[in-house]
Amino acid sequence: MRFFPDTLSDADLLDGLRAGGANRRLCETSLYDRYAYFIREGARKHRLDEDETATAYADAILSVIDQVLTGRFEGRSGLKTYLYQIFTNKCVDGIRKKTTNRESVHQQGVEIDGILLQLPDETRSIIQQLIVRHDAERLREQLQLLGDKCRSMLLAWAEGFTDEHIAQEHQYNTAAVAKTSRLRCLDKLRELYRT
Amino acid sequence: MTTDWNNIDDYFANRLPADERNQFDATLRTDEALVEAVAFYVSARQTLQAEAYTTRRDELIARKPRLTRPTPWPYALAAAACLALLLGIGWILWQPQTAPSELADEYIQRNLTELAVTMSADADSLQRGLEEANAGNLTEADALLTHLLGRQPTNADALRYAGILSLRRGQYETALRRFEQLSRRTDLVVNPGLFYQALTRLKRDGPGDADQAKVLLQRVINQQSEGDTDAQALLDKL
Repeated sequence: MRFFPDTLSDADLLDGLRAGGANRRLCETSLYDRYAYFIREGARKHRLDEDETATAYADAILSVIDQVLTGRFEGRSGLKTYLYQIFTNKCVDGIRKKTTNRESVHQQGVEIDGILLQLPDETRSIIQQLIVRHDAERLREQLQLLGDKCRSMLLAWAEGFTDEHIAQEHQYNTAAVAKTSRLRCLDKLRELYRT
Repeated sequence: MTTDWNNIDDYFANRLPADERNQFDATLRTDEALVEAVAFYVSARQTLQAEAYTTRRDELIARKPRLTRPTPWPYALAAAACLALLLGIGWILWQPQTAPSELADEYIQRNLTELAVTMSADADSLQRGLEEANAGNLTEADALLTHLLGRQPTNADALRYAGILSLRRGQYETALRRFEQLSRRTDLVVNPGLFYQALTRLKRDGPGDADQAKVLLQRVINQQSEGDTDAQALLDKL
């Protein structure tokens, strides 16, 4: 696989995203830059500000990346076509939001977090109820009180980066050491949240 | 009681062996502390994902990339330019044409290697200079003729032969200066100054030299100056 992102094929881009680590970041940025002209064309077509279409475009890019990483992008259409369709939907949502104050027409309902499906049925519903009661805004505030390194590691973990990548990024000797540090940060976050 | 985050992390990452996984499921049914820790783990992960999403989206938007569709035209133009260059090079290479410096070499070899004295005000010095030149001792010959010119700046023969020596030694600027001085003489019956200037430019073959040589050669022909026959022959080949 070549690592000069500006000349990567779609297949190489997808491989790079799935590879994770630094390659994933490079390929994310490359994908974003490659079709960024959608922003201006979308603003013209949908009569939105470029700021609005830039947000829609970034949302579309992150959506595509998520679908590639979770295996939901099957490659039946080209990457550009797929991205453009999602971007168009996001722009339409933007228009609708402006005209009717209603949120996304393309929202498919609140999705259950996939990892909850790993839990046995009888405990899943209990845990879901506890989650609903959690104050996400408070948690976000407490996250800012963690040190930069802790916050950075937890965010990387949430994005799906491996402990190997986290170890490299934060100069830990091994993935095991990075994992221990990450979980210590999670424990610290809970202590902050509880106080 | 300390929370076993490692076990929870391994559970959701599918790193637990089957029997440990079953044990974890069983403990969840009865251990309230574990249930609460799992709820926090999942909830925190969701919040962190939302935060990471917002951060990453802001980073991407801040990139300010090019917003115009890339056009194939620059590449098409570059390709066309390359093709034109290749065709031009091919045309030049395939031309049955002698290089200007080669033309000059042929003339110098044929006509300026053996120098004969035509007239002299100081025959000994000039003769010695020419003898040295004919023996191949160009440096000594140049020194003798330069010294002679110092004493006799109007000596046309000395100026002519000193210029020829400079040409043969590759001192083109000195040769041009001497031949220009020679060409300005109006008292000479025959004056090869213009022709030798052209010859020097052909030999040097620097930027613009070939064009300037053609102009000089045409002037030699038009004025019927010394060397006009050779000038025509050279022009025909250029």
